[in-house]
Amino acid sequence: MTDLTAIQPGYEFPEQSLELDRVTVSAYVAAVEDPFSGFDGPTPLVPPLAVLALAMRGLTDLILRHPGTLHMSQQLNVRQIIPVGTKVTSKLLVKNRSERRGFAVLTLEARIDTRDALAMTGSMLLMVPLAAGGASNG
Amino acid sequence: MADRTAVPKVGDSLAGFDIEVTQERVQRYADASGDHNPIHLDAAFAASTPFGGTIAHGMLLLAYVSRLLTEHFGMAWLQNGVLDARFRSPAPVGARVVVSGNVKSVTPQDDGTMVECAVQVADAAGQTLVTATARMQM
Repeated sequence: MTDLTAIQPGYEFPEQSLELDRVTVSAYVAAVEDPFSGFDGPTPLVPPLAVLALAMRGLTDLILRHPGTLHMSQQLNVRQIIPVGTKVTSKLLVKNRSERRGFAVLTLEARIDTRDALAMTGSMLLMVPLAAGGASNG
Repeated sequence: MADRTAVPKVGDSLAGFDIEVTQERVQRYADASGDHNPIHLDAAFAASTPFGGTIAHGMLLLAYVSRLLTEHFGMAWLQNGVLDARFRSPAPVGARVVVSGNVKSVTPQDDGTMVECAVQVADAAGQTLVTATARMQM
């Protein structure tokens, strides 16, 4: 298991691949109650936040094992429209790490690609408690 | 599908919406995103944390921000949107949150117009939960 408090700048999480299939995306759109017509119909699109959330599931699982982790900020840069059915790969890199008030402060950079092109980039700031305990706002 | 391509003016308000962050909505988001952190779902666990109860996923609040941007900027947001968000305070389950925004700048460019907006999520008492800057080229 990866220890989020111990990873250093340059660490790359294992690459993840997934297909943004209709069932998964429809469940997401229903959950966030976004009425935009482009997310429905015969050729639906995927909301950008859905791409990010679904592509980062591996990180979500990891954060679960680090109670007390705080999600402080999130940046997202969309590069193309993503239709339902698109296969994407996501990469996650530790860009910066510092320690403050009992937390490891991590800046993670994400890159999500379709088969042919960059789909989006993002970065997030996480504060991971150096000692176990507490909750998480992930 | 609907696409709103009218370029706004500086100072325009982005008509927003309010929504109650119920446990059912949080559960549905957890199932759709795969983020089953107990701080969002387990009342007994959450009661023992500094939050005192279950809270919404930060990414659910960002999904509401994305919903606002999709409503006002349609395909521009889905194609080239940039979002920079900070989580200021958690949203306890049961809170009614208000998502709103306004246009901060409109900059003509060679190949379109760059629009920058400030977006926020606040609770019913006006406490800021999320602040974000969004940019789209229209």
